[in-house]
Amino acid sequence: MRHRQSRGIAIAAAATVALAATGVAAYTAVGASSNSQSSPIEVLKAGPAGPGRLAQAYNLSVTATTPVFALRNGETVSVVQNAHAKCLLRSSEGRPAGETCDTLAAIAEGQGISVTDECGASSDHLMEITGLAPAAVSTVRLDSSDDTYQSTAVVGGAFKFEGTNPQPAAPYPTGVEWVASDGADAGTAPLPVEGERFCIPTS
Amino acid sequence: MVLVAALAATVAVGLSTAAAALAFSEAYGFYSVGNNGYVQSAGAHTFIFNFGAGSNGGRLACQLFNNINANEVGHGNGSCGVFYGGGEYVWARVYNESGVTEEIGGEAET
Repeated sequence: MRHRQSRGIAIAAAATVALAATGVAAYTAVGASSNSQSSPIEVLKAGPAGPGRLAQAYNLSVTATTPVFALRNGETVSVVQNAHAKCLLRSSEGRPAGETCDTLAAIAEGQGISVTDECGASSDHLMEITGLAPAAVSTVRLDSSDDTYQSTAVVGGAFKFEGTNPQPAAPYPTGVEWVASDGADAGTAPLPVEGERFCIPTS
Repeated sequence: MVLVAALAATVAVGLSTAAAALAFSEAYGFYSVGNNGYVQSAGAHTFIFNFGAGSNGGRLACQLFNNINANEVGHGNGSCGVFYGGGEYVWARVYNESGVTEEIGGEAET
């Protein structure tokens, strides 16, 4: 178990900001020419990683993101990519709220999907399904356990579906179907959820 | 007067930077657990973000919760993240939902 509690020194603030800016510039330069990457668990094991941890592991600059859409819960979603990997970054009031990153090969296999659920007693029970679509996919269909589906357009390589947590015994989303711009079937991918276990009990 | 204003501005920036630097984070887990098992933070804190990762790229779920109002869950493949903006003390967990035993760990931050 590892703890971190850092303390800033006010008089060094300007120097810190200058060094950080230098670091970002240096990092961006490295990212432009490198294909090396660390797995997510390697990133965490290396020490406190902070915001943009996965993007940095994939040599992506978190300062070069492209906003793609907003979510009903107030979060904004941005995308950043290079020739090898892509990240979907969520933020809430300027603070990191989510990060889904993978190689383009893994995204083509449907690995770049995330699902978030508000399950608390005082919450609105909102659910967002966001993800990164494979190249050439223009539409995403979200399949439901009752054999219905809903569709959404891909924006900047990303997609979103917004709803509420499935109630017990009610239909629930099971996976996505990729549709190419000419309407052709471009494959399927399951959601990263174990069956109907969208919400997890706290006890 | 100009000097005083400049000094006040410098102090304000410094305090703001110091407050931001006081953010707390805790890394937890990093050992093997079976399917549907989990690792959990040592304590509850005013965590706003919890990030988890696993060793085999399978399904994971990240959670920030307490026994009052909070229970936020984020699902992902190989990694997961979840945000909670309620300001309450919450615990952080990462669940292994990959179907097999794997090493999982998390990092929660205020």
